[in-house]
Amino acid sequence: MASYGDTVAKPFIREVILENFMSHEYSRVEFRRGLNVIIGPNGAGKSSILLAISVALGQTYTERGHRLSDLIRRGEEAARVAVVFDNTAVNGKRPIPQYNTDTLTITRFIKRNGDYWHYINNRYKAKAEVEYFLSQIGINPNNMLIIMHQNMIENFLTRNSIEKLLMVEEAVGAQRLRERIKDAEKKLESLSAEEKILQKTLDEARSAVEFWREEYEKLILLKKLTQRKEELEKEYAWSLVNEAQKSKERVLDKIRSLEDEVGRVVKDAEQRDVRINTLADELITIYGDTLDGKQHVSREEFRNRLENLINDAYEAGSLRERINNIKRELRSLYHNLTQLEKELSERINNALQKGEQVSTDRKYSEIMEDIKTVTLQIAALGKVNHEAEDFYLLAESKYRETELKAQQVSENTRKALEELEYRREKWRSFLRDLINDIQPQYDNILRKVGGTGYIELRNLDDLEKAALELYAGFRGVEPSLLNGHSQSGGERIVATMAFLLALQKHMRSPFRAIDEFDVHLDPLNRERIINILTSTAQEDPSAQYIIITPGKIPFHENMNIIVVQNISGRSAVRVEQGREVEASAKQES
Amino acid sequence: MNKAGRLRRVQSRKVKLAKEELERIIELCDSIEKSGIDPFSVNIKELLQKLRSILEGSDNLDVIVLDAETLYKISLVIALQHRWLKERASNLFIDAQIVSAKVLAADNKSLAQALARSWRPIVNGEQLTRRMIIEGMEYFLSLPPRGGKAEERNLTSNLTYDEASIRYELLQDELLEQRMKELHLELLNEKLGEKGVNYWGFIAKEGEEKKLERAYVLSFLISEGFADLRREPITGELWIIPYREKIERRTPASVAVTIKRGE
Repeated sequence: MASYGDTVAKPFIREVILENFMSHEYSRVEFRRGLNVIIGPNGAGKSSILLAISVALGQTYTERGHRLSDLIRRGEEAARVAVVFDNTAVNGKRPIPQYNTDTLTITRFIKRNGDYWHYINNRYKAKAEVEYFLSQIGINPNNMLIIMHQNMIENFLTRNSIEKLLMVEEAVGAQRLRERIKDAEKKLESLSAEEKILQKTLDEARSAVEFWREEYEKLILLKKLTQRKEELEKEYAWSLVNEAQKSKERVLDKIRSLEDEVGRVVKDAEQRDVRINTLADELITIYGDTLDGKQHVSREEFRNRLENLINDAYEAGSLRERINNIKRELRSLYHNLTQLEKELSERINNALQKGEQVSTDRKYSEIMEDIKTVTLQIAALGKVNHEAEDFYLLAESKYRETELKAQQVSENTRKALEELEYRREKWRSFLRDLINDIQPQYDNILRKVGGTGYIELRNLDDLEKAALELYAGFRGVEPSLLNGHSQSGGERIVATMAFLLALQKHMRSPFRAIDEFDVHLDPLNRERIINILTSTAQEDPSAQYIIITPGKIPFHENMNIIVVQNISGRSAVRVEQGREVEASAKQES
Repeated sequence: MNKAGRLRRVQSRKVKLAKEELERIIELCDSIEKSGIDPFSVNIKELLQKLRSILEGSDNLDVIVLDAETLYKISLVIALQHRWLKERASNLFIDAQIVSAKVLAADNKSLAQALARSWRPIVNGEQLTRRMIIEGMEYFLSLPPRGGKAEERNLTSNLTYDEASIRYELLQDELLEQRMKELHLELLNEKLGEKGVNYWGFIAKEGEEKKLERAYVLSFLISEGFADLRREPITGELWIIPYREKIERRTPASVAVTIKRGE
């Protein structure tokens, strides 16, 4: 069974102050730790005291007046109610450590126009702050297990079993346990549900990364093609050089051949000239000799010799023409050679700009075809983002990181959900232990008034529908569900009181109050319940009980009795033990 | 100090330490939530393990409740991690560079399709009533023809059957008020019986065809305070009590009368 480890004393209500509140003009009501019983006739203003406690502590709903302003004393414009808690240190520790004062006063002012405001120790506080502060010390004035106004016992029974369990959890200080498990579960389940959406978003993110990958691949391809084109252009340039070089070689060969030829022809021509001269000399000699009669040469022979001379002279002439032609051709070739050398030089310069010389056997036209193909391939790539590599690498790394973290979050969610299941079991086991602890006490109390009963927990597997059911039977009748129909009014009150009393030692609130629980009880049951109440209060002297009853009550030594009566239309409060707290300042004057 | 006292003291110290540890984790989670620290800077698994070990070592209700609170706070951090992921994943695909690159690469048709898909026209429409249609129609008909001599138009004579029926309804408000006056006068001139004017007799006075119309106009007359309607609790008879002057009602109540043909 879960327990509180605190050894610090609980705070208790030391005083309640009512000013212009309902029938009270000005009352200061002293309380003590332990059992406080408020008694007095109907209409005297007993319940006003309990109502004052509830209102001061921030209760929104009031039993007697649905509007807060209805609680202001007739003819007055504003009312004040204050609850003074004892905060004296025990073993050096204050019950309410947030405040380093011996008392802590929570005040509420109410105005006729409906306005109200709170003070804690004379400092303004918003209602939510007061509620939060009180919840820290286990007080919720709206929980009827803590403050049970008139007719609330019936009201408690009319609450469904789900609400009953919630009230019990709140009263024992475990309300936040279920709330937070629910909150966490809701949050984590919504995350699990959103995982598909996240996966979709991640898929879309993946497609974005793919886009950049494709862009990056395009860029790589572009780079390759560009490099290939540059190489081809270099090859082309050097192929042009080669081409020019070859042309030059061809011209040089031609020149060399023609120069050889001209040498040969000149030689031939010279030989011809020698022969011509020889033939001419021979003819002149023959002609002279013939004239001199030194020799006789036939006409035929002379003719032959002359023809030979003419032929040789013709041949010599032809050779001379040939020489001239060759020389003309040579001049032209030399001119071409100069041009070619110039062009070669230019081509070499161009090629050097493209890069170092590359050897190629291919024709430049062939290379040009390749260049055209590569250029078309580049054009087909379209617009390529030159920052694609950076974007791709960035997107890829971000995506990888996100993907990894998505797995991490999914794992975290799954693990947290597992942990939640453990807490659910812890909550179930806490409730089972609590009810197992209350159960015998509940039955014992009922047995003392001739009844029997048990408590059941339902739907503990469902945080929303978990419920608590009370069963009670009287005078030998089998216990049946406690509701507005199966038991008599008195039996219902007895059973509810039994449950309330059984729950007492687990209650978180430093005080509990109940108004006129005994109106429908027969005298015997009333006495029995009061005795149980008294002994319960005595068993736990650190807790404070406030009960209101219109009837007599057996007086015990440690009991604080507060008698309320009506005097000239005003309520006065008298605290037994001989000290009277005046209800009206005016009355005193 | 006896053994039990020492044990209590040890347990109390254990609870205190557990609560302090849990409060530290809560503080850590809160700081992540409030100051926008990277939610992945904490190791959730380790925190959960630590939480479990604290819980397993304590059966104190305060610790159990605080543990649930801590687990909730850790859930909030996981939710923050989830949100971070969603934002990061969204940023990855909603990238200005990608959008820019895609727009530049897109052909005209794709651009037009994208525009059509993303176009979210904001329409501000008011319900067209017949009165508004008539007013609009009158306005447009009153405009002079473009480029020609203004032509006199008799609105009613040129109206089609539908237009005329709209026009007829426009006049209904005036007619209703007139009919109410007539019916009020008629009611005042009726011979009053002991209980007033018989409702059924009064509405059927002009025959079956007019019964519904008279009942309709009478309902206005009664609602306006020129008459009252009383139902006999036993017989169920309905009686009209006419008033010369309009009366003020402090506590109005609704009476429903079913009118059937032939009754």
